Amino acid sequence: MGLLTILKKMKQKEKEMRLLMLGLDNAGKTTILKKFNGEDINTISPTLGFNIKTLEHKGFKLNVWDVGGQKSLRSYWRNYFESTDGLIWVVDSADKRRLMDCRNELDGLLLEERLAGATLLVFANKQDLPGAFPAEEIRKTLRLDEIKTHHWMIIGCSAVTGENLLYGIDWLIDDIASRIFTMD
Amino acid sequence: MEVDTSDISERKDRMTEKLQKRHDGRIAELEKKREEQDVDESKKTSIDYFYKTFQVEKSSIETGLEDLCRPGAKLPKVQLTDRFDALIMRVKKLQKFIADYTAVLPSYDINRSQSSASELLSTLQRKREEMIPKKKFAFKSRKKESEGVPVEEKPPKEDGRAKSEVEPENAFVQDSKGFSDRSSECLRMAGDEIKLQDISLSNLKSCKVTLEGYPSAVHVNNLKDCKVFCGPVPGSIFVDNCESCVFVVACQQLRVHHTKDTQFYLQVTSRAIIEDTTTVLFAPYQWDYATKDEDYRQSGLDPNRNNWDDVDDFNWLASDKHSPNWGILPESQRVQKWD
Repeated sequence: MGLLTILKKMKQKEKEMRLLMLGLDNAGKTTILKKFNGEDINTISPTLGFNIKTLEHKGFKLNVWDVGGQKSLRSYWRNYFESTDGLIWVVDSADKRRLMDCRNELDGLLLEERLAGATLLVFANKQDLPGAFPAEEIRKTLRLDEIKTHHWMIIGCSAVTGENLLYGIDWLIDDIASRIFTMD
Repeated sequence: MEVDTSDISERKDRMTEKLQKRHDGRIAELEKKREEQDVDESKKTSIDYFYKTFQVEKSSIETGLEDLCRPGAKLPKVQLTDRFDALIMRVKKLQKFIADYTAVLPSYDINRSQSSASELLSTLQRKREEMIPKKKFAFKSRKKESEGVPVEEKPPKEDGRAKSEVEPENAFVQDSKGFSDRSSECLRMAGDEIKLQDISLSNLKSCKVTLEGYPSAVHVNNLKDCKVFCGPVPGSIFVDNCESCVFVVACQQLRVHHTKDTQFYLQVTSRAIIEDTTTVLFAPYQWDYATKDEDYRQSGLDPNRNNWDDVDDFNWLASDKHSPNWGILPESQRVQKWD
């Protein structure tokens, strides 16, 4: 029996991915995580600390780390960088006042050596709000086209309606899988 | 004589040791063989078990679906919904079952069973949509609103094309609703004007602001000596750089930054947080206006849930001692009626 357990563990480890979800406060990180996991999203409080969820999706085991985005927590972000396969950057598309903040924080992350190998997925969240910028606008404002160091994609989504969440995550997983699980 | 005995017993010990070693080795080898066999066996039986369970469950769900779709079977809508939901739940369980077995199954079989499960799920969902027309529910108005807005549905192509010339900063000034750069005024917005809009209040001094309705979010920046009243906000209220103000607001989340000497008469359904903020006091929400009940109903904010006295201070992480930055407004000092 012992060997089977070991075999199973090894096989599972192969199929594991670590995703780190960051963004400014009020971007909707926890809401995305909970919506994706099919949980209630009406009682979410601002994240003091972090949430970890392990999800099964498309035969992969996803360890998703959702770290609080308040200013006082951002200095702790780097504690979570190690062995990250995918970075999910969440943007509140309706919060135009802080898009520059958002850009600066993202630029800083992309210079991080420990995130160098990670695929970047940008969620332009809150597309259900009437005043939200479309993803194309966010892409320009954050100057995503200048990113040459990471595989990246931006997609408009809504954590409240669930629109495009699956699409984004699927892309992220496929991109990571094609990089690290080439033997399959 | 004595020497002899010890010699013999020494030899005896050596011999027993050797024998024991061989015995152990043999047992270990046997064990290993048996274990290998076990692995093969258990792998095989668990795969067999998987196929059997998967097939049985799948065909039983399919039969269930056929039953529901039979032209003769006219079920009442409620029952139909329940039956469909139960079937969908079963497919989801089946998908989880597959996920549990990914470690032992060959990848071809994983793919095949996964795709057949997801096919089943989409068939179910399609049939459900056909047979049970979409329910209309309370949030209708919001949906209508967002339909009018161009929402990025398709992912942008990765060819780096960008056409729109609007600078974000300009756009911000143009489309954000609310008030800015005023002093000593009574400002009011109500009803459809703010319904599910993102309202921005900035650079106000000695003003009274009333928002009678349910915006989707409120951003407040740089207010001094102001009073702000607002109906139920299903999203969050964001307060930054305020001083000596009174906020009478209801919302799902309240986030307060760089603020001091301010009072909140608050209803919050999750939790309020403060950051870089000092001397703020909290009391329960207390404000009446004509369309309040209707606004609650429309916004979907639960009027019965209020965590106004449960505030997280991001600059005070010690749980055993209360943050010095916020407190509860004593009942005797609370305003009972606003003019």
